[in-house]
Amino acid sequence: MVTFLYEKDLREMKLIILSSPLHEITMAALCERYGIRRQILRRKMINTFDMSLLENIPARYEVWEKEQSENESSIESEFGATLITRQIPLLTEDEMNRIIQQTKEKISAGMGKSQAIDEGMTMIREVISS
Amino acid sequence: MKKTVDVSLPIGPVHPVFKEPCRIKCETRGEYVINAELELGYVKKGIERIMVGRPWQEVMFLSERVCGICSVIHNYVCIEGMERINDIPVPDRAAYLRLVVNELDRIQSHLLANYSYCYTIEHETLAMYLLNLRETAMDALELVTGARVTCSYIIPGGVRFDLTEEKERSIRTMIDHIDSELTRFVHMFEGGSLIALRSKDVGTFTREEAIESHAVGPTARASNLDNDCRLFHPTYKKLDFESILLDEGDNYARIMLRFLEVFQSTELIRSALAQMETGTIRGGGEIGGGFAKWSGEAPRGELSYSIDTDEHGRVKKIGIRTPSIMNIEACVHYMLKGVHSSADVTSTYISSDPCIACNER
Repeated sequence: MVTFLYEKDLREMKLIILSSPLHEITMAALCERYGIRRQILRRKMINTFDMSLLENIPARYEVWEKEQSENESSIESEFGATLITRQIPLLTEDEMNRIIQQTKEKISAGMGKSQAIDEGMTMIREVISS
Repeated sequence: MKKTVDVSLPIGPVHPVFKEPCRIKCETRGEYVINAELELGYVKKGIERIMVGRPWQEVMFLSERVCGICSVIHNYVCIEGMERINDIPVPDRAAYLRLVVNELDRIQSHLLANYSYCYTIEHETLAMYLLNLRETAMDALELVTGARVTCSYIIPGGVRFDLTEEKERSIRTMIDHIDSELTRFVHMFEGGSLIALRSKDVGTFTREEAIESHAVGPTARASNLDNDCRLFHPTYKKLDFESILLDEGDNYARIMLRFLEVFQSTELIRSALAQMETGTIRGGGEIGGGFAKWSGEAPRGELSYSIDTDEHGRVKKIGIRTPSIMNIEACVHYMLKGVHSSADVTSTYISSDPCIACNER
């Protein structure tokens, strides 16, 4: 986000966008999926995204939902990797790849898949909260 | 996250080529655009919130106030959504009249969009020709509905006024005039070498990018992504509607596609008038409690209304998703990236037919 010295603080307007009825539905789905508090997710989005992307979040989430049904079993889809790197870019691709790589290493070292994914989700939460 | 950039080029909120206020912040290297962002919030209306708690009789008028350019489709989708809550039937003649009005609205909106583009690339002659031709479509709209902007023509179970034979003949004459004049203007656009220089391979938008950003309407169809809501609409199905697609995805394709869609709209109006039989135009109906989500094809793309009403037909919750939300985002984050000149920033932005009024509903 580029900021100018003479510019007004846009957080209030961004919060109004995020509290529209359609955004509320999407935010609830994201919070449930990643086990994160709504205020934290809102803060991350307000700090990271510009207004046009904030407005388009519900539509982008819908696109991901439609694509989701095609391949469901991989670690990438368990994390919703494309959702949080491309559709709603809360994480960079490098950060996501690092988490996926670490999860795969844990599984190949003998850890159960569900436990490794839980730990991966915790790492995603940490990145979003930071 | 604050970012330090080499050169930052702010455009707007008030700029001669912008019809409505917004601010584009371009991160540039020389004139080459590396990245862009958009800031809104200058004309936020809060219509969704104003609608809550109000009866459907008020909401149907408020829905038109979301956008002054495509007000008919807001009325159309809002009423059709409400009709779905209580299964209110619409007489055939009224369904065709709705289509006629919607297509007239599309014609004037597309001509206005292309006028804006020609004006932005400083081809004022063609721009003024197009703006003049738009008046014919506006006159036709006024002839059918009695108003130019907030028509309030569509009501639950039908439409407000019937079309007399005399008015029907006038409409046919007007759309013939639009067809013949526009053919001439399209030749001017196609043959203008400077237009091609400013438009071809500028603001390129691929099909994959269109899918990712959920781009809709002519912006998506110019990148060969077919998501026209008219394909699934019962009245359009009767007329064997097929959408127009182009491959190039540049400014030229987006403008050209709108020209082609104007010809398609005049054909649809002719077909609707030919198939329309005499009969009633109002079936009546009251809106009760329930939920409906309904989409329609606005001039700029898919427009969706999610309406939740109580047993008295008062709106409990409403969500409006306008096409400009998706298209402006697609423009700012995909089309503007890689634009070679700052002069092309404004023309690329206008080529996506942005509507801030819709966005700031």
